[in-house]
Amino acid sequence: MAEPLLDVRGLTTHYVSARGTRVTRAVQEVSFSLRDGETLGVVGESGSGKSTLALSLLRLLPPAARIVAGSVRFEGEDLVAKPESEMRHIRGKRMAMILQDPMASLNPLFTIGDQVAEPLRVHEGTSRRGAWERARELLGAVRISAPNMRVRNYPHELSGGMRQRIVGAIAISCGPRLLIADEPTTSLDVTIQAQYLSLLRELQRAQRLALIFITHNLGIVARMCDAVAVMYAGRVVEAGPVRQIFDAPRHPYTRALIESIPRLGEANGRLTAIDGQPPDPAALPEGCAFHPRCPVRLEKCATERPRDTAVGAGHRTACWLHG
Amino acid sequence: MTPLLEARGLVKHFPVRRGLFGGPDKAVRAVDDVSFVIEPGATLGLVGESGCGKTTTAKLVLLLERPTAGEIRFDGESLATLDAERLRRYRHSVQAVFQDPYASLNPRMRVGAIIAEPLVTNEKQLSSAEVGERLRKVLDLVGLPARAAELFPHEFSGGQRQRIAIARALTLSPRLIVLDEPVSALDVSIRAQILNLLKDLQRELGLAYLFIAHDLAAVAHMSHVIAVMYLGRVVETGAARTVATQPRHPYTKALFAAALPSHPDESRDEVVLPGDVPSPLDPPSGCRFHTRCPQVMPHCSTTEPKLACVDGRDVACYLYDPAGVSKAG
Repeated sequence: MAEPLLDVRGLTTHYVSARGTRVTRAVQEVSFSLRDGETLGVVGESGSGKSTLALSLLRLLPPAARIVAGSVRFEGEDLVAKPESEMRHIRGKRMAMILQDPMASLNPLFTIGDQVAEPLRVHEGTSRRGAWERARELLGAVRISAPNMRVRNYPHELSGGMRQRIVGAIAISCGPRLLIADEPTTSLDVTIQAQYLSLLRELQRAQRLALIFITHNLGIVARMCDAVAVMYAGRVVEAGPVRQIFDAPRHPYTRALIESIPRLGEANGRLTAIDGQPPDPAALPEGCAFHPRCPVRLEKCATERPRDTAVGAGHRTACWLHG
Repeated sequence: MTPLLEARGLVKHFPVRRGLFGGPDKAVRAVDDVSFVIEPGATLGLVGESGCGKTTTAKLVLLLERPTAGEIRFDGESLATLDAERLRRYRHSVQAVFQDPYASLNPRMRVGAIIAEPLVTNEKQLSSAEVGERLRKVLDLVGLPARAAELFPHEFSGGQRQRIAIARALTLSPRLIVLDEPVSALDVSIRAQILNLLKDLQRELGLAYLFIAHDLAAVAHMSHVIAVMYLGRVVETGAARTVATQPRHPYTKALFAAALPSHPDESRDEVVLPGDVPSPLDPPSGCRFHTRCPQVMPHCSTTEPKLACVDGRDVACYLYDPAGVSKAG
């Protein structure tokens, strides 16, 4: 089998406070791989490390954060070892990102045309005229009506859904192989979210893009993803093909998450709630980080950390019940 | 049985100032002829996208805005006719819990003071022992320990803060609580805790809720009756299960089809609506949904359909009202 497009091994990212006294273990020994055209959902709550993971892949971490171990092999090269000057040729060209808030991703002082054309001018050296021409095509590709007029608009003249489509157009402008979307639809209305998700699907099929969805929403995973990695307190606690995860979740946290979501058209019984709250990533519990909230914990869960165990084809979990 | 709260033909227009060069006066028609009923101990869910008027409706119920037209009746009495004393009592009976528990709690007050404040300002005759008694009772109701009263809001997580906000809403023993996106700011694993708590409180205290959220599954789970709003109008309303599982109005269909599945194999007929919600400043003529409707007919753009009973719920759509078409035509 050919080498995967992206292969992450033991990735560990820590935040260190200014005096070096407080270490927050945001991402711990995360491993996964992704092939061309595949979609992976990274699911977790706030503080689970999913956004830090995304930033680590692109090496866009804030100054206080550091990748302390692990490797990120993308198209056969380890990105962790790359000098910043080479990363600049990868970011925006081979690998692109879509963030939650489109207003924060777009510059209010430049026209849409300038912003969609910018990566083409930077990465491919396209002429201004050529890049604008391509920008019009890209706006058409993300279903913006009247692209000839819209290229001259500023971000504030567009609706939230349109802005997020512009961000999508910028992301795919240089034909990347991998697109990382961090909560891309959280700020959108339900019907606009549906529009956007089906647009991402189309773009993905047309360009054989690999997609990583960072989300807290299992519904998005169910609709969009082939595989899932569930994160809790910086670690992947369960990962596998999407159907196996939904049909037979093996980690108690994954099971609880799936059961805690109200479903349309089901009897209005009680929801299965998870007691307590996610731990502070700067003060993680000993052993398995989920043990204080776990309904089926064993004695050793409080002291020993469970190792990754295979529980099916491509399906693994870190839980003593299966260790 | 008289309904607890009844809204009849509620209208709220916000005037917009004319531009530099004049031009006709305009108004944002946030809520335009909306009627609904909330029964004692039951939940009405308001669903719709941003700009549909659901938050304005909540503000009208909370008396934070005065309606441009129409009336709200509480216990059979119109709010417009109530004197100051009875309005005060109405405000006790209707409380609110908002989306962001970080913004809605004063960071400089201890939790006990936050929760007791409505009592201290409204029931001045109560002794401090009685206030303390009530405080302990509501803390217990929302599942917080008694020592929580001594702490400040920042010492609590988002879910616990939302419990504090609910406790504050409970102190005056209300009969209706307006819940505006009460779980959207919370982590997924915490949402179920709060939704369960709200259901338990409803059963124990006989509370009625006006539940507003964009999470359709959560609204369907919590509500007895759902009203779907689009650009200031109710387009479909009926029993929660009926509306959620067999929607009739094309907008409701699209809305529930756009709701995310709870399992990868759950395939819905994906109805992807084109375009954005039009501006409430200048809503489309006729049926306000006709610009995005996949089943639009010629007369939809000229005359607005009225709510009419179809298969056990009310729908405002000409697809189900051939008589309305002939009258309109």
